[in-house]
Amino acid sequence: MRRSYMIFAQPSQLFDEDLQKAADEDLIEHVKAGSEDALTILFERYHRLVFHIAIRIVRDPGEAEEVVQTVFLSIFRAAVNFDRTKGVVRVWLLQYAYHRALHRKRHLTANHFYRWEGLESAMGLGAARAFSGEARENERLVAQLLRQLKPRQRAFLELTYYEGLTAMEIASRLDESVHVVRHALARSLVTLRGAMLGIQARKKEGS
Amino acid sequence: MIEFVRMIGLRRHGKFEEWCALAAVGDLGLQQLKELELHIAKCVKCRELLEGTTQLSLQAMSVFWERRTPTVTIMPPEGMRSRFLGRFREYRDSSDRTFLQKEFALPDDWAAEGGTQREEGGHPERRPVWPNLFLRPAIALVMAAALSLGSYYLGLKSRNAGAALQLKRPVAQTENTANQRNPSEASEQKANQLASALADLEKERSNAKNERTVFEEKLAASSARLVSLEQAANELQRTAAETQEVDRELELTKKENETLHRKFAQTEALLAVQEHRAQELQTELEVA
Repeated sequence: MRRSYMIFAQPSQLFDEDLQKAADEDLIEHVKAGSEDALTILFERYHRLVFHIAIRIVRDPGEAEEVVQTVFLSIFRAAVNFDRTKGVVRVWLLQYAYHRALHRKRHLTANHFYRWEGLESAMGLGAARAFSGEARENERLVAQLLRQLKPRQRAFLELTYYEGLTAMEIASRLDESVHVVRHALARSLVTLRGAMLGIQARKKEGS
Repeated sequence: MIEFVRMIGLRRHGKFEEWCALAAVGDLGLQQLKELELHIAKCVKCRELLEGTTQLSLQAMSVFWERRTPTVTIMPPEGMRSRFLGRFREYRDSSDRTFLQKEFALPDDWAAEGGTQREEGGHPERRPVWPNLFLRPAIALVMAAALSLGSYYLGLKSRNAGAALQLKRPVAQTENTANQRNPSEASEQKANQLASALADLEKERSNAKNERTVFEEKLAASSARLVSLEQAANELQRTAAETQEVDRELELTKKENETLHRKFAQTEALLAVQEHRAQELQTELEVA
């Protein structure tokens, strides 16, 4: 099934004051209509947050700025795809920022030499599913499952996602071995994924 | 032996499972990324795991971030907003004619990653128009060439050669008369050309203005940074002078301290001698 969207570029017809007060989801509707003002307001609201996430991953202000610009340009291009019943703009932006920052980091790691076609395609599919229709429901599930992790595992994940630390930095901060941290991080994610798959399979059987 | 090989295989596979999860949080080095890419090209299970952990990682990340506001330690660079707007306008202007005010058909499973969808996947089923524009003139040209070749081989060339010479001038005359007949058409065409050139110029002017704004902001930021660096350098120089002063003072105090130590040691020795002498005198007094 395909959906159709009509794009109109009439930013001059929009009222700035109303836009300033508009909710993120309403702004996205204006962005869908090609409004530069709405995109600028979204940029104003979130560029610091996106920069904050990016700099913790790419560790370079210039590269982080590149990530910020890419994220907002992509938001402009992908706005037509946003469905307010399935998610909130802030989470969408956060996930997009994280995904783009990791993508940039991989390219920097390879000194722009490799395109990582296999990795990018697999991870792109994963990201697409994360942004897909059941995103809100899945996030609730993930939040529940995260609460069931051991405190130490949860702390590792929190330091990874929230503070952008590498396994080596976590190890040195918490006085653990790098091997232990890496193993625990990987196990947490693999376990969570297993649990998610199990829940989804049971739901499918039930329905 | 087979069991041993199977166990080794499982262990190696386990390594890639761990790497899939670490790739999803961006914690793999270049060599490991290369190995993982090669591995997922042939291992469906690991490929799926990488997809799954990436998905999960993004969702877990947003759970940690959803209700928190970061304490900003590193401020975004100056002028980032205007640089972004400049780039956005450039992007929009370049793609305005290709996608704005068009109807789009997007697949339901459109990935957010595929930002190029608007440009690339707009109308997958609609054929481009340009081949049709050129196809007919091309066919006409080919037919004209075939006709002229045919007439040449039929021996009409000699008869047509003189006529062609005679016809050449009338053609020019016809063009001239056409121009004279329709001077308004020619001027209209010229006006259109000028209008289009003016529009291009306006666009370039607007781009240049945007660039100027960006450069102005960059210059302002750079000047501010220069001033702050100069201040920092001055402060450092002052601090260096102060440090020298303190060092000198420290040296003097050290010397004074050493002198005092010496004097103290001498006084203590004198005191010990005097005490000893006093004890001797006391003993002599008692004896006497």
